Amino acid sequence: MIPVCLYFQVHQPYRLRRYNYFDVGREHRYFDDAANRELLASVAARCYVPAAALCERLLEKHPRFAVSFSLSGTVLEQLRAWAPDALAAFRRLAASDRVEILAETSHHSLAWLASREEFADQVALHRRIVREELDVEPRVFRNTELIYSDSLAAAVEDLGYRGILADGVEPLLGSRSPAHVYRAPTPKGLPLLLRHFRLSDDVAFRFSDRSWREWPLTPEKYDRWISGVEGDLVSLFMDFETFGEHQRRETSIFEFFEDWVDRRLARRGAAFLTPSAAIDRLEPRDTLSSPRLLSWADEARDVSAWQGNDLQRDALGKLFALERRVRSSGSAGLAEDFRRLSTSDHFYYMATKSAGDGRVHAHFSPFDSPYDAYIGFMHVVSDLERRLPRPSRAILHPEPSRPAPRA
Amino acid sequence: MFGWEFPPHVSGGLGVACEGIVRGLLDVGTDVTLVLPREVDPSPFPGLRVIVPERSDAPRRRRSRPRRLRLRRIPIPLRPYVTRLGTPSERISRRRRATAPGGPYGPDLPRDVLRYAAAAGRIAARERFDVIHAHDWLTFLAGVEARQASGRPLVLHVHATEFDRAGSAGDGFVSAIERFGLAAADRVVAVSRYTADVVAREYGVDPARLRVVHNAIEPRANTGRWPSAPGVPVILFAGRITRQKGPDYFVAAAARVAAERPDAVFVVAGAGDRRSAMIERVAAADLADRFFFPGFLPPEELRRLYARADVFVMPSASEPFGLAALEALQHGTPVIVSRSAGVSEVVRHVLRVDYGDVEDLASKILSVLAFEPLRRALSARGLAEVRTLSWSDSAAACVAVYRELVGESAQPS
Repeated sequence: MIPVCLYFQVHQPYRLRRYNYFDVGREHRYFDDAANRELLASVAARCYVPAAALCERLLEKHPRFAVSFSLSGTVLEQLRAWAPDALAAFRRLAASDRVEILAETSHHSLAWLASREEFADQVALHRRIVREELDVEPRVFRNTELIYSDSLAAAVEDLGYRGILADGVEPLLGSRSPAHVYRAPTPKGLPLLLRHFRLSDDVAFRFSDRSWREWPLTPEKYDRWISGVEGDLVSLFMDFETFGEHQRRETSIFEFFEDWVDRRLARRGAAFLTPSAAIDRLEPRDTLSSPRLLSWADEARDVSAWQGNDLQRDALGKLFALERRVRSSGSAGLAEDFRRLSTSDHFYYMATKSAGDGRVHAHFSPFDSPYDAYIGFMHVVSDLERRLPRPSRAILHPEPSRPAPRA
Repeated sequence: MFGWEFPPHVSGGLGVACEGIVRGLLDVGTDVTLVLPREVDPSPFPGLRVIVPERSDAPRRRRSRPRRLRLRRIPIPLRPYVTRLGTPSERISRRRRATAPGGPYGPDLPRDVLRYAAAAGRIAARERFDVIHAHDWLTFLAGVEARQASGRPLVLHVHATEFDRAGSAGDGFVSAIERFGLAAADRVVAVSRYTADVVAREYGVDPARLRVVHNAIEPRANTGRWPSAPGVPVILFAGRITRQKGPDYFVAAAARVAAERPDAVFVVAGAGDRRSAMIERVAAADLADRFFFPGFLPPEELRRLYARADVFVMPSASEPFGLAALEALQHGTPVIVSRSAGVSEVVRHVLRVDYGDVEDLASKILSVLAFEPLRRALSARGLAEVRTLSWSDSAAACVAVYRELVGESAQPS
């Protein structure tokens, strides 16, 4: 029977407060603590706590059950501050040798798209946070939103990781199947695990969609589909928030998942593998290359969800134009603000796509429109710039320059 | 169809929308007989029949008054849009306008409205048609008269209500006509969900009779931007200068913008009862050299302003639709509108503010001026979006409403 590799992404950003032109130079608190705390507590209660408990129960029930998680640094910090019971549950999970914790950037950021140095720093920072909060050393890497390219794989290999995750999309696979371990075209041939996006999205996106031909999705049917896959491995990668948040408890998502695992593991030869176990046991089938950036987001499966329009490119460019000065300031506070602003979510809210993708973006956005998201972000970056030592020519307010605030 | 404003006699959105609907109906193959209070040249509208009530259509005193509706002239000062009179200089400039003589708003509007309604019955009795469609309170009585005379179903199209025009302090005569007409109509078409809510709330119109048909905009060539004089951002307000349109908030926000951007200038185009007060406020704030009050402008001049402005602001308290926002977008001008404005139900690529939030409005104006990519995105995407709107779609939605009624009336009752 084909083994299954489960990986769940756990992430919450630090959302920005309403921040306008007149706040620049006066208000240096950028993040909406009250809203972030409230959202985190609500997601913890609806998803993290019950879903982690479900995983713990499955691990107890089934010696062959295994699962992996990637937790961003921003969610780990928020859990510690506002939902310590959920953090304790992840810590217990991480202690199991059938649970693997993956590496990523500390701030679930777009750093790879802007600066290799910042990327490496955030990966190291994430490593430290995971060590402190979960007491484990990640070995396999997954980048923000499965953003991936050949050069990223090479950089990740250089940083010492033994594998990497990506979405199993056509530009990478061509006509090949995602159900194998592959290699990236790196010096050591970094092992590559690919998400089976159809089977993953059947649960993550379509589970409760009544207009879907296959609704309702039963554990029997889903297991039949999985068993029907030809290959070495079915990789199901999705947001952990699928359980209880994207798919509400009332949709029976929890019951579905537990029934499916029970059903699968009742059969001889069925197995769940962590990414490391898959890399250890399965022979890479081929080398796959994508010089172009890919991801698991939107229809396009590229980086257009965060860098698809001028606003998004301007925002990321203006932020990273400050990187050198943030570094040379030596200020931990400035660095933390800078990094929280590099989180992918801020750029996701600025997307101006229409139709299906647009609705998904709007669903997750705390802003009324992508323009409001951009405006707030840009004013915050403006303020951050003013706090940096050695003020140089203002980047954000072109001529005529803005007069200094009156005393 | 009963209309009041129609080109060239247009003073606001009502005339533009009526023209758009007529054009759209003709485009989708509907025969339209349009009854107007004043002569117009129908040649730009192939297929349109225009009827202007003649002396013989007017009922003779008493004898031919409709039985179930008594019309009586009420001697109260009443203006269709609260601000038609304006200052002496505006009156002069209006007189100079080509459209002013013979325009749709004479000195005794209530009398005109009632005469028009009385003639409507006779016209309806001799014309052949399937559905009656009437626009705003000025023609509601005519619509009801025509329904009485012909037995055909009546659709009343609400472009604005007296609650939008004047808040709670509306004119009793006007709101009484609105209430009477809306109660008698077989279907009520509102120009936005916002307006549908007002009509349901204020006039108790049953949602089962209520439909929303959004306005659109006539495609126009030559809407290119005017080159900006370097370093002189222009912030534009255009519309009636009445409380409903929020000019006070525009001036208050402008003062905050002016303090941050010594280069910006502000244009308040339009006439209205708040114009003098606005001029005084601007003078008191020592901003007289930054503001222009050009008064009511003919369409071509207004279009040049749209093309030149860096931001168009519509901070209305109550905006049933807000066609001016579409016109600004059509010229590639970034637009800031009140969140509740009907127009924001059909366009995404605008900035929205809560009515009365001066700081947010000022911040958004400053943001558009400060961030070039934002300006470009709002301009290009707004223009692209406005190009997808079509009066034919609005007309097709009206035809769908007609079909509901023609189907119904075919049933024996």
